[in-house]
Amino acid sequence: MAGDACFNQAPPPWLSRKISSMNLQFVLMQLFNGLILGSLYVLLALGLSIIFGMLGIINFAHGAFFMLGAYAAYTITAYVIPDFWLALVCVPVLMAIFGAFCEMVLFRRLYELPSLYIMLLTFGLMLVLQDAVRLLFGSMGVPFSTPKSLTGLVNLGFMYYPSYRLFLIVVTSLTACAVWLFLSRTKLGCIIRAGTDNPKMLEALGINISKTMTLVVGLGTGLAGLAGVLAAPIQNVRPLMGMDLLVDCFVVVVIGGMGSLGGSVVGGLIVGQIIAIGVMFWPPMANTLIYLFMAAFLLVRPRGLFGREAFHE
Amino acid sequence: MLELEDVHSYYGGSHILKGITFRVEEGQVATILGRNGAGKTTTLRTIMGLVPVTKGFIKFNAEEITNKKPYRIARMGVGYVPEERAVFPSLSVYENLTLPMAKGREGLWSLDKIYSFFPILKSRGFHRGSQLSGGEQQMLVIARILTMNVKLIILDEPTEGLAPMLVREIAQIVLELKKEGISILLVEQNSRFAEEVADCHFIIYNGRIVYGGTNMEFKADDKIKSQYLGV
Repeated sequence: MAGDACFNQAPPPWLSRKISSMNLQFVLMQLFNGLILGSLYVLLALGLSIIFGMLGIINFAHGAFFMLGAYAAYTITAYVIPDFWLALVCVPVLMAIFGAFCEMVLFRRLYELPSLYIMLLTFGLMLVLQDAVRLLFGSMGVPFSTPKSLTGLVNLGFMYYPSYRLFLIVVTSLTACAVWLFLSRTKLGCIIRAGTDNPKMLEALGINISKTMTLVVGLGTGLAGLAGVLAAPIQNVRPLMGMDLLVDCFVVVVIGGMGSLGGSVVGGLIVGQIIAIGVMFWPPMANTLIYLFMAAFLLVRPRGLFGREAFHE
Repeated sequence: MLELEDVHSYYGGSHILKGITFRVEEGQVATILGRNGAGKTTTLRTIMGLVPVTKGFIKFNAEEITNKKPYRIARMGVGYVPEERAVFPSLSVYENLTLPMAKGREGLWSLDKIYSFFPILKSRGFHRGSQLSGGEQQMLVIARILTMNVKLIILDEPTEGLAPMLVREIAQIVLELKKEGISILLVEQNSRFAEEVADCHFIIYNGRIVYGGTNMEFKADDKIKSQYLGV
């Protein structure tokens, strides 16, 4: 479904002339589109993964955070200052603050209870956010145009590609690299990785994990918000836009391996490409394909790409 | 040093500790012995704040630590080595080792001293924690708490599943720490190892401490061993 949202725009005229026979340029174009979708998955799955590891819960509100990011960008550009770049910088920060707030005010009260309760809370949060946005902006969705400086096509040498989409790939790659550097090279990142392995043990080593948990939820929400801003010009900005993407992200996380950060990146890119390739051959099946792939993959490797066997004990 | 008075706690809905009372003096090595399921591991987890106390109190260095957060108890100087899975598999050996270190918090041993005792941790510093063998992982976990400012070390079956040579090595480390005046509380199935390192022993049976005695007394008391430990 998220795939449709990404690809249901009419192809540019120069492409529709050639679309009858699937040529190399069309294939390349689709692979690039797969990369776009994949990079959005990566941003979302990274946040989902660190939250899952640290808090031991599946954050059902993650898709709603993504949607909220897109609506925040819409609100800023339509009502405050019509500047996409401002939204691109502000929205992830605002969303990170919102996520940290949710952790401190809502999630924290339930850590002592079985994790089912907190998952229900995130599920409820998702419904509340979606309906709040529906009340404020309507269920039809809102228009969001590509920033002026990024309209048009770029000549890549072998094909023309929309500059905004190229920009999206660059931003998500840089963000993924920055997150990776933060997690692998800093002390705080080290603590977060240890927390995804075994948060109780981390506490027994004298580390105050409640601060780390706030940070992790904030970081994850910020990444979802960034994905929301970036997706706004190419997807329909509507209250349920995050719901579809969230379900796909579960597939990403399962294929990549629960709790594995590298798995989120690789899994995101794989699922993006599967949808893109599926669209080339039989569009209605494209989204079903990822579930088939997941089922087949899990039969061969039940713990996912980089998941650890002992993780679910 | 460490004092438990009538401590009760539940684990997974069942009443595990039904009034644990014992104390460990400064600089002593004490063991908790008992059959499987008697409540040994739960006692250690309860001291560490990982299992809530429902009744009774725990004092450390004359300060009450009952139901304090685990990180606060750790920062007061309690180092906990759990039975299993204590190495973080996503972290390198070096990262595992230095994880508790922070600015302004002095460790018990310097990294150099740790490396001289555990040379393997230096040579394999950039390997992943999960790539070490079981014995090496146990060394890493013990070494890791020495980078904290520990005064009391709690070890849960440190020799379980280890080759005799490694058991000797762990005994040496325990004796070295004892020489430095560190108090140690350990849960042990291997009563030979326990008799070699400990000053006193407690036997836990069905959630209660049923015996406490010095190493000499315990060694001589075959009746108590056969009654509660099945030796």
